Amino acid sequence: MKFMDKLKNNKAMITLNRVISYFILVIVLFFGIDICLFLTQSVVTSYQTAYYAEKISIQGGLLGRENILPGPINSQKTCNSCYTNSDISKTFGQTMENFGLTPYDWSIALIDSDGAKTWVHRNGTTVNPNQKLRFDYMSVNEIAITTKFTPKVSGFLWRGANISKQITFVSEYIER
Amino acid sequence: MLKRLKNNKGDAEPLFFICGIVLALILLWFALDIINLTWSRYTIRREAQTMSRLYALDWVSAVWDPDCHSSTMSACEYPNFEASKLHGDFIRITESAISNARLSDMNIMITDNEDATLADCDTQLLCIRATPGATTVRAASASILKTRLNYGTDLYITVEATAPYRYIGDTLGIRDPVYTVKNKFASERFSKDDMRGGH
Repeated sequence: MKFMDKLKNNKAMITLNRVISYFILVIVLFFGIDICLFLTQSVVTSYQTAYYAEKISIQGGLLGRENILPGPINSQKTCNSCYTNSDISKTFGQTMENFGLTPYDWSIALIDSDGAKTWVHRNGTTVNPNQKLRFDYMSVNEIAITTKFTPKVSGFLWRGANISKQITFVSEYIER
Repeated sequence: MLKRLKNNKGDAEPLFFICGIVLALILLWFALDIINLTWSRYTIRREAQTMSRLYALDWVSAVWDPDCHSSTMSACEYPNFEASKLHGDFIRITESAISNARLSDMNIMITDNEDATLADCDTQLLCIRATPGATTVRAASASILKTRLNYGTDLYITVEATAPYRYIGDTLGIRDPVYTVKNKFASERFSKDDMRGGH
Protein backbone atom coordinates (compact mmCIF):
# COMPACT_ATOMS: atom_id res chain seq x y z
CA MET A 1 0.00 0.00 0.00
CA LYS A 2 2.83 2.34 0.83
CA PHE A 3 4.31 1.78 -2.62
CA MET A 4 0.96 2.49 -4.30
CA ASP A 5 0.64 5.67 -2.24
CA LYS A 6 4.09 6.70 -3.36
CA LEU A 7 3.13 6.02 -6.96
CA LYS A 8 0.00 8.13 -6.56
CA ASN A 9 1.86 11.05 -5.10
CA ASN A 10 4.57 10.60 -7.76
CA LYS A 11 7.38 10.13 -5.23
CA ALA A 12 8.22 6.58 -6.39
CA MET A 13 8.63 7.33 -10.09
CA ILE A 14 12.39 7.77 -9.94
CA THR A 15 12.77 4.55 -7.95
CA LEU A 16 10.62 2.67 -10.46
CA ASN A 17 12.55 4.13 -13.37
CA ARG A 18 15.78 3.01 -11.79
CA VAL A 19 14.54 -0.52 -11.21
CA ILE A 20 13.43 -0.82 -14.83
CA SER A 21 16.67 0.71 -16.07
CA TYR A 22 18.85 -1.62 -14.02
CA PHE A 23 16.78 -4.57 -15.15
CA ILE A 24 17.36 -3.60 -18.79
CA LEU A 25 21.04 -3.07 -18.04
CA VAL A 26 21.39 -6.61 -16.70
CA ILE A 27 19.61 -8.05 -19.74
CA VAL A 28 21.88 -6.10 -22.12
CA LEU A 29 24.91 -7.19 -20.12
CA PHE A 30 23.90 -10.86 -20.38
CA PHE A 31 23.22 -10.46 -24.10
CA GLY A 32 26.59 -8.74 -24.52
CA ILE A 33 28.42 -11.58 -22.78
CA ASP A 34 26.77 -14.14 -25.06
CA ILE A 35 27.51 -12.08 -28.19
CA CYS A 36 31.19 -11.99 -27.18
CA LEU A 37 31.17 -15.77 -26.71
CA PHE A 38 29.37 -16.20 -30.03
CA LEU A 39 31.96 -14.06 -31.82
CA THR A 40 34.82 -15.98 -30.22
CA GLN A 41 33.30 -19.32 -31.20
CA SER A 42 32.73 -18.00 -34.73
CA VAL A 43 36.36 -16.94 -35.10
CA VAL A 44 37.67 -20.23 -33.71
CA THR A 45 35.36 -22.22 -35.99
CA SER A 46 36.60 -20.19 -38.98
CA TYR A 47 40.26 -20.77 -38.28
CA GLN A 48 39.74 -24.41 -37.39
CA THR A 49 37.96 -24.91 -40.73
CA ALA A 50 40.95 -23.39 -42.53
CA TYR A 51 43.34 -25.54 -40.50
CA TYR A 52 41.58 -28.82 -41.28
CA ALA A 53 41.23 -27.80 -44.95
CA GLU A 54 45.00 -27.39 -45.06
CA LYS A 55 45.59 -30.64 -43.21
CA ILE A 56 43.32 -32.69 -45.47
CA SER A 57 44.76 -30.97 -48.53
CA ILE A 58 48.28 -32.08 -47.58
CA GLN A 59 47.33 -35.66 -46.72
CA GLY A 60 45.08 -35.87 -49.79
CA GLY A 61 41.86 -36.95 -48.10
CA LEU A 62 40.81 -39.28 -45.31
CA LEU A 63 43.26 -41.95 -44.17
CA GLY A 64 40.77 -44.16 -42.34
CA ARG A 65 42.01 -45.82 -39.17
CA GLU A 66 45.79 -45.72 -39.79
CA ASN A 67 47.89 -42.65 -40.39
CA ILE A 68 49.66 -44.13 -43.40
CA LEU A 69 49.86 -42.14 -46.60
CA PRO A 70 48.63 -44.21 -49.55
CA GLY A 71 50.75 -45.44 -52.42
CA PRO A 72 51.83 -48.65 -54.14
CA ILE A 73 53.01 -51.50 -51.91
CA ASN A 74 56.39 -50.72 -50.33
CA SER A 75 55.84 -47.04 -51.05
CA GLN A 76 53.34 -46.34 -48.30
CA LYS A 77 54.66 -44.04 -45.67
CA THR A 78 53.73 -43.58 -42.05
CA CYS A 79 52.84 -39.99 -41.35
CA ASN A 80 52.81 -39.33 -37.64
CA SER A 81 51.46 -35.82 -37.97
CA CYS A 82 48.63 -36.87 -40.27
CA TYR A 83 45.13 -37.32 -38.87
CA THR A 84 43.08 -40.48 -38.96
CA ASN A 85 39.31 -39.99 -39.13
CA SER A 86 39.06 -40.42 -35.37
CA ASP A 87 41.92 -37.95 -34.82
CA ILE A 88 39.97 -35.30 -36.72
CA SER A 89 36.94 -35.83 -34.49
CA LYS A 90 39.07 -36.00 -31.36
CA THR A 91 41.19 -32.91 -31.92
CA PHE A 92 38.34 -30.76 -33.17
CA GLY A 93 36.20 -31.95 -30.27
CA GLN A 94 38.91 -30.97 -27.79
CA THR A 95 38.93 -27.44 -29.17
CA MET A 96 35.17 -27.18 -29.03
CA GLU A 97 35.09 -28.48 -25.47
CA ASN A 98 36.51 -25.09 -24.49
CA PHE A 99 33.18 -23.60 -25.52
CA GLY A 100 31.22 -26.23 -23.63
CA LEU A 101 30.24 -28.06 -26.80
CA THR A 102 29.55 -31.79 -26.76
CA PRO A 103 30.32 -34.02 -29.76
CA TYR A 104 26.63 -33.72 -30.69
CA ASP A 105 26.97 -29.97 -31.17
CA TRP A 106 29.18 -29.95 -34.25
CA SER A 107 29.69 -31.74 -37.55
CA ILE A 108 32.39 -32.04 -40.20
CA ALA A 109 31.85 -32.98 -43.84
CA LEU A 110 34.00 -33.13 -46.95
CA ILE A 111 32.65 -32.36 -50.41
CA ASP A 112 34.65 -33.69 -53.34
CA SER A 113 35.09 -32.15 -56.78
CA ASP A 114 31.93 -33.91 -58.01
CA GLY A 115 29.88 -32.44 -55.17
CA ALA A 116 29.55 -35.73 -53.27
CA LYS A 117 29.41 -35.19 -49.51
CA THR A 118 31.20 -37.44 -47.05
CA TRP A 119 30.47 -36.98 -43.36
CA VAL A 120 33.49 -37.26 -41.11
CA HIS A 121 31.70 -36.49 -37.86
CA ARG A 122 27.97 -36.30 -37.24
CA ASN A 123 25.49 -37.11 -34.49
CA GLY A 124 28.17 -37.17 -31.80
CA THR A 125 30.55 -39.65 -33.38
CA THR A 126 33.02 -40.31 -36.19
CA VAL A 127 30.72 -41.54 -38.94
CA ASN A 128 33.03 -44.21 -40.32
CA PRO A 129 36.49 -44.50 -38.70
CA ASN A 130 37.61 -46.94 -41.41
CA GLN A 131 36.55 -44.90 -44.39
CA LYS A 132 39.36 -43.85 -46.70
CA LEU A 133 38.82 -41.07 -49.17
CA ARG A 134 41.31 -40.10 -51.88
CA PHE A 135 41.24 -36.72 -53.54
CA ASP A 136 43.01 -36.51 -56.91
CA TYR A 137 46.08 -34.30 -57.06
CA MET A 138 45.01 -30.72 -57.86
CA SER A 139 41.32 -31.46 -57.46
CA VAL A 140 39.23 -28.74 -55.81
CA ASN A 141 37.35 -29.92 -52.75
CA GLU A 142 35.55 -28.36 -49.81
CA ILE A 143 35.33 -28.83 -46.09
CA ALA A 144 32.20 -27.79 -44.21
CA ILE A 145 32.17 -27.41 -40.46
CA THR A 146 29.12 -26.47 -38.43
CA THR A 147 29.11 -25.73 -34.71
CA LYS A 148 26.09 -25.01 -32.59
CA PHE A 149 26.10 -21.97 -30.37
CA THR A 150 23.85 -22.05 -27.32
CA PRO A 151 23.54 -18.88 -25.23
CA LYS A 152 25.14 -19.34 -21.85
CA VAL A 153 23.42 -16.57 -19.89
CA SER A 154 20.83 -15.01 -22.18
CA GLY A 155 18.94 -18.11 -23.25
CA PHE A 156 15.70 -16.38 -22.29
CA LEU A 157 16.26 -13.90 -25.13
CA TRP A 158 17.33 -16.13 -28.04
CA ARG A 159 17.88 -19.78 -28.80
CA GLY A 160 21.35 -19.40 -30.30
CA ALA A 161 22.49 -20.14 -33.82
CA ASN A 162 24.48 -22.52 -35.98
CA ILE A 163 27.88 -21.30 -37.13
CA SER A 164 28.63 -22.78 -40.56
CA LYS A 165 31.95 -22.34 -42.34
CA GLN A 166 32.88 -23.81 -45.71
CA ILE A 167 36.28 -23.53 -47.34
CA THR A 168 37.68 -24.82 -50.63
CA PHE A 169 41.07 -26.45 -50.83
CA VAL A 170 43.22 -28.02 -53.52
CA SER A 171 44.51 -31.51 -52.86
CA GLU A 172 48.31 -31.44 -52.97
CA TYR A 173 49.15 -35.03 -52.20
CA ILE A 174 50.77 -36.94 -55.05
CA GLU A 175 50.35 -40.68 -54.76
CA ARG A 176 53.57 -42.38 -55.79
CA MET B 1 14.98 19.20 -19.77
CA LEU B 2 18.18 21.25 -19.44
CA LYS B 3 16.56 23.33 -16.70
CA ARG B 4 15.68 20.14 -14.87
CA LEU B 5 19.22 18.93 -15.27
CA LYS B 6 20.55 22.20 -13.88
CA ASN B 7 18.32 22.14 -10.84
CA ASN B 8 19.30 18.50 -10.38
CA LYS B 9 15.80 17.09 -10.23
CA GLY B 10 17.08 14.11 -12.19
CA ASP B 11 14.19 13.49 -14.55
CA ALA B 12 16.60 13.13 -17.44
CA GLU B 13 18.42 10.18 -15.87
CA PRO B 14 16.27 7.42 -17.42
CA LEU B 15 16.54 9.10 -20.81
CA PHE B 16 20.31 9.07 -20.70
CA PHE B 17 20.25 5.52 -19.45
CA ILE B 18 18.08 4.35 -22.34
CA CYS B 19 20.35 6.22 -24.76
CA GLY B 20 23.26 4.32 -23.25
CA ILE B 21 21.49 1.01 -23.70
CA VAL B 22 20.67 1.81 -27.33
CA LEU B 23 24.29 2.79 -27.92
CA ALA B 24 25.46 -0.48 -26.35
CA LEU B 25 23.15 -2.46 -28.63
CA ILE B 26 24.44 -0.57 -31.68
CA LEU B 27 28.00 -1.38 -30.65
CA LEU B 28 27.13 -5.06 -30.23
CA TRP B 29 25.47 -5.10 -33.63
CA PHE B 30 28.52 -3.37 -35.04
CA ALA B 31 30.71 -6.06 -33.47
CA LEU B 32 28.76 -8.65 -35.49
CA ASP B 33 29.53 -6.67 -38.62
CA ILE B 34 33.21 -6.50 -37.79
CA ILE B 35 33.41 -10.24 -37.25
CA ASN B 36 31.61 -10.88 -40.54
CA LEU B 37 33.95 -8.48 -42.26
CA THR B 38 36.96 -10.25 -40.78
CA TRP B 39 35.66 -13.57 -42.07
CA SER B 40 34.92 -12.10 -45.50
CA ARG B 41 38.40 -10.65 -45.84
CA TYR B 42 40.00 -13.80 -44.55
CA THR B 43 38.03 -15.85 -47.08
CA ILE B 44 39.01 -13.49 -49.91
CA ARG B 45 42.71 -13.72 -48.99
CA ARG B 46 42.49 -17.47 -48.65
CA GLU B 47 40.72 -17.95 -51.97
CA ALA B 48 43.33 -15.71 -53.60
CA GLN B 49 45.96 -18.00 -52.17
CA THR B 50 44.11 -21.15 -53.29
CA MET B 51 43.66 -19.79 -56.81
CA SER B 52 47.26 -18.66 -57.20
CA ARG B 53 48.48 -22.01 -55.88
CA LEU B 54 46.22 -23.91 -58.26
CA TYR B 55 47.32 -21.77 -61.21
CA ALA B 56 51.01 -22.04 -60.32
CA LEU B 57 50.87 -25.82 -60.05
CA ASP B 58 48.28 -26.62 -62.67
CA TRP B 59 48.01 -23.92 -65.32
CA VAL B 60 48.76 -26.59 -67.90
CA SER B 61 45.28 -27.98 -67.17
CA ALA B 62 43.91 -24.91 -68.94
CA VAL B 63 45.41 -26.35 -72.13
CA TRP B 64 45.79 -30.11 -71.75
CA ASP B 65 43.56 -32.73 -70.17
CA PRO B 66 45.50 -34.13 -67.18
CA ASP B 67 43.67 -37.45 -67.51
CA CYS B 68 44.56 -37.89 -71.18
CA HIS B 69 47.25 -40.51 -71.80
CA SER B 70 47.56 -40.30 -75.56
CA SER B 71 51.08 -40.47 -76.92
CA THR B 72 50.23 -37.48 -79.13
CA MET B 73 50.14 -34.36 -77.00
CA SER B 74 47.96 -32.48 -79.43
CA ALA B 75 45.28 -35.12 -78.90
CA CYS B 76 45.20 -34.13 -75.25
CA GLU B 77 44.63 -30.46 -75.91
CA TYR B 78 41.25 -29.08 -74.91
CA PRO B 79 39.20 -27.66 -77.81
CA ASN B 80 38.72 -24.46 -75.78
CA PHE B 81 39.28 -23.13 -72.28
CA GLU B 82 35.63 -23.60 -71.30
CA ALA B 83 36.10 -27.35 -71.71
CA SER B 84 39.16 -27.47 -69.46
CA LYS B 85 39.53 -28.74 -65.93
CA LEU B 86 40.84 -25.38 -64.75
CA HIS B 87 37.73 -23.56 -65.98
CA GLY B 88 35.49 -25.73 -63.78
CA ASP B 89 37.87 -25.50 -60.83
CA PHE B 90 37.96 -21.70 -60.90
CA ILE B 91 34.19 -21.45 -61.15
CA ARG B 92 33.84 -23.71 -58.13
CA ILE B 93 36.35 -21.77 -56.02
CA THR B 94 34.86 -18.41 -56.97
CA GLU B 95 31.27 -19.43 -56.28
CA SER B 96 32.28 -20.95 -52.97
CA ALA B 97 34.06 -17.74 -51.95
CA ILE B 98 31.11 -15.56 -52.94
CA SER B 99 28.71 -17.74 -51.02
CA ASN B 100 30.82 -18.23 -47.89
CA ALA B 101 32.06 -14.67 -47.59
CA ARG B 102 28.66 -13.25 -48.62
CA LEU B 103 30.17 -11.07 -51.31
CA SER B 104 28.10 -9.05 -53.75
CA ASP B 105 30.74 -9.29 -56.48
CA MET B 106 34.27 -10.54 -57.05
CA ASN B 107 36.81 -9.85 -59.81
CA ILE B 108 39.99 -11.85 -60.15
CA MET B 109 42.87 -11.32 -62.53
CA ILE B 110 46.00 -13.39 -63.02
CA THR B 111 48.68 -11.81 -65.14
CA ASP B 112 52.39 -11.83 -65.85
CA ASN B 113 52.37 -8.04 -66.20
CA GLU B 114 53.02 -6.37 -62.86
CA ASP B 115 51.52 -3.06 -64.01
CA ALA B 116 48.22 -4.49 -65.24
CA THR B 117 45.10 -3.32 -63.45
CA LEU B 118 41.64 -4.83 -63.27
CA ALA B 119 40.64 -2.54 -66.11
CA ASP B 120 42.93 -4.68 -68.29
CA CYS B 121 41.48 -7.91 -66.90
CA ASP B 122 40.02 -9.18 -70.18
CA THR B 123 43.37 -9.12 -71.96
CA GLN B 124 45.39 -10.89 -69.27
CA LEU B 125 46.15 -14.56 -68.63
CA LEU B 126 43.03 -15.18 -66.58
CA CYS B 127 40.04 -12.99 -65.80
CA ILE B 128 37.11 -13.93 -63.60
CA ARG B 129 34.08 -11.73 -63.04
CA ALA B 130 31.50 -13.01 -60.64
CA THR B 131 28.32 -12.04 -58.87
CA PRO B 132 26.14 -14.44 -56.86
CA GLY B 133 24.92 -17.07 -59.30
CA ALA B 134 26.81 -15.73 -62.33
CA THR B 135 30.50 -16.40 -62.91
CA THR B 136 32.39 -15.87 -66.14
CA VAL B 137 35.95 -17.10 -66.55
CA ARG B 138 38.06 -16.03 -69.49
CA ALA B 139 41.63 -17.16 -70.20
CA ALA B 140 44.28 -16.32 -72.73
CA SER B 141 44.56 -18.73 -75.63
CA ALA B 142 46.59 -21.90 -75.32
CA SER B 143 49.28 -20.55 -77.63
CA ILE B 144 49.79 -17.51 -75.40
CA LEU B 145 49.97 -19.65 -72.26
CA LYS B 146 52.50 -21.97 -73.89
CA THR B 147 54.79 -19.16 -74.93
CA ARG B 148 54.54 -16.84 -71.93
CA LEU B 149 54.46 -19.28 -69.03
CA ASN B 150 57.29 -21.45 -67.83
CA TYR B 151 58.75 -22.72 -64.59
CA GLY B 152 59.53 -19.72 -62.40
CA THR B 153 57.60 -17.13 -64.43
CA ASP B 154 56.53 -14.29 -62.14
CA LEU B 155 52.77 -14.03 -61.89
CA TYR B 156 50.43 -11.64 -60.10
CA ILE B 157 46.95 -12.22 -58.80
CA THR B 158 44.60 -9.34 -58.04
CA VAL B 159 41.33 -9.98 -56.26
CA GLU B 160 38.81 -7.22 -55.79
CA ALA B 161 35.64 -8.04 -53.90
CA THR B 162 32.74 -6.14 -52.44
CA ALA B 163 31.95 -7.31 -48.96
CA PRO B 164 29.02 -5.26 -47.67
CA TYR B 165 28.26 -5.03 -43.98
CA ARG B 166 25.23 -7.11 -43.15
CA TYR B 167 23.86 -5.24 -40.18
CA ILE B 168 24.68 -1.65 -39.47
CA GLY B 169 28.09 -0.76 -40.83
CA ASP B 170 26.97 0.47 -44.24
CA THR B 171 24.33 2.63 -42.60
CA LEU B 172 27.08 4.40 -40.73
CA GLY B 173 29.06 4.71 -43.98
CA ILE B 174 32.41 4.48 -42.28
CA ARG B 175 34.31 2.42 -44.82
CA ASP B 176 34.64 1.42 -48.44
CA PRO B 177 33.10 -2.06 -48.88
CA VAL B 178 35.53 -2.89 -51.72
CA TYR B 179 38.49 -4.96 -50.62
CA THR B 180 41.50 -5.59 -52.86
CA VAL B 181 44.26 -8.16 -52.49
CA LYS B 182 47.33 -8.37 -54.73
CA ASN B 183 49.86 -11.19 -54.45
CA LYS B 184 52.93 -12.18 -56.37
CA PHE B 185 53.64 -15.84 -57.07
CA ALA B 186 55.51 -17.96 -59.58
CA SER B 187 54.60 -20.69 -62.02
CA GLU B 188 55.75 -24.10 -60.82
CA ARG B 189 55.09 -25.93 -64.08
CA PHE B 190 57.21 -26.09 -67.20
CA SER B 191 55.79 -24.99 -70.50
CA LYS B 192 54.75 -27.61 -72.98
CA ASP B 193 58.02 -27.44 -74.90
CA ASP B 194 59.96 -28.22 -71.77
CA MET B 195 57.67 -31.08 -70.88
CA ARG B 196 58.50 -33.53 -73.65
CA GLY B 197 57.87 -36.97 -72.34
CA GLY B 198 54.57 -36.26 -70.67
CA HIS B 199 52.74 -33.91 -68.39
